Amino acid sequence: MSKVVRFEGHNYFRQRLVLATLSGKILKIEKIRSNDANPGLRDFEASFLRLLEKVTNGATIEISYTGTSIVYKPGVIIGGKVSHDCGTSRAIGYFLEPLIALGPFSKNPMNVTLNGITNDNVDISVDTIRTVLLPQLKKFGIEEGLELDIPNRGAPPNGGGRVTFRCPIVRTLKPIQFIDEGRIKRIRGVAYCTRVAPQFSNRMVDAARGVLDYVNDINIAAVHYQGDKSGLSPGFAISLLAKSTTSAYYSAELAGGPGQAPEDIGLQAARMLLSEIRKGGCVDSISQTLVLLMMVLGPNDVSKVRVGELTPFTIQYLRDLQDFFGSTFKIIQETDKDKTVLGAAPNTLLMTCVGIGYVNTNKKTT
Amino acid sequence: MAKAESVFHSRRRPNLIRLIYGDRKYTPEQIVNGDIEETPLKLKGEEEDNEASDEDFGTGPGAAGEDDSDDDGEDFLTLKKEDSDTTVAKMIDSCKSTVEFTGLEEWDDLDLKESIRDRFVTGSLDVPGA
Repeated sequence: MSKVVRFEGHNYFRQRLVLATLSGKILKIEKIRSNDANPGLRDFEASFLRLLEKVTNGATIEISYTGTSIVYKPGVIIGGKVSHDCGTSRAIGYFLEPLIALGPFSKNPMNVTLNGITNDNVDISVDTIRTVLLPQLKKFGIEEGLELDIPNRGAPPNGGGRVTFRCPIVRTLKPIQFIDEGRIKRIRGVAYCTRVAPQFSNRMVDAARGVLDYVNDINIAAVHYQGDKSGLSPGFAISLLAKSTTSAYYSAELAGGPGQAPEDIGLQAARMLLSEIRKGGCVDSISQTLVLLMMVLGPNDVSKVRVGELTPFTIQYLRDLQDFFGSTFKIIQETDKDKTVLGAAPNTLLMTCVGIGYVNTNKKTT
Repeated sequence: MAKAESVFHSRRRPNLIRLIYGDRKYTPEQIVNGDIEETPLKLKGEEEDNEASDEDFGTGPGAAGEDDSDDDGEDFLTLKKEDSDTTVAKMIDSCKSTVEFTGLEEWDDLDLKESIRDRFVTGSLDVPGA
């Protein structure tokens, strides 16, 4: 495989930079919005490049004069204490998601403070990252000291939220065998509101609980942020998760905007959770990419995971994983007839791959 | 219905690995939506076609953007622009799929709500077919 990986277009920008950093390959992206009225990189993409520069050492980024092509030579992931202003074009989730993929392979444990929008309907919210995405890493052996603090909330359009992400470092990952999705035993969630009536949180929770009457173990926290913790804009959002007996997570979330009733947001979020549960699998749609990446980076051993249907984003991720690491997944589609686990959802996919045996050479061995 | 479904799956199933890793002529969206038989090369192909016709008309993309005259070629170019706006440019780099409110009302249906009951610990253990 060649040392240079080439792509076209502005899509899947973050994952390609992350995969280039992990694989040490040179990344060349061309035709970034070259036909657009406003060509080149957007401010949030440039901001993400700056963040990448902060957490790595020795990386060079060359951006063409028009901003429509970049060449990225990755450096060493250095981590440490970093703070970054994410702006208000994209939420914190946009920046945090790739950091989670890089964090475990850093030289020093990451301690990253991000300012900006905590919850919106474009990027995954910090709540879902904390309650669903981070626990996925535990299965790969990344546990102690993995934290996300959310002291301040920030709703769009002005943001003003703040989160701190701490990630331990590992030398190698563990392979996973996660094919039994179990049965859902509990439902958790967070409903928050800032700069609106404090009852908004409770109204969202009540509406969501009305739909999720399958189990008794439901606990959705209703939080009202006050004072300087409430950011710069009014807003409210709900994040829900269902956890199974085998620690499979399903998540759904929705943020409310001006003129929307909190009951509607709670109700729709609960329905979205049911749709996610119906898809089945051991890994829900938003965690697919992270889990698949960690499987590829695992030791030279077989990892197996069951997923519901693949999202378009994940399919492109699979292709990019092949381009950077040369690893492909074996995908078996299980129907009702040949399903192996009792009570599993129909039509799930069994994803199998052999890890490339990635070793975090930055971590000092003592 | 059952037959159509089985035919649909039997045709689609063994191909998923090839669709993803093969010659990559379908976009991820096309693979997910299953429109892989009728319209191959839809997204990329249209772009390429348009680019080819750019050269045929002899107008560069820059010139077309500047003056909106009544040339036939201009129409073609404006169309191309809209196309890239709607399909590619609208795609957002986020793993969260766009919020779709349509179809969520189906959960008002009690039968449907009951259909996923067995995915919960409160459901029955002897699932038919398991």
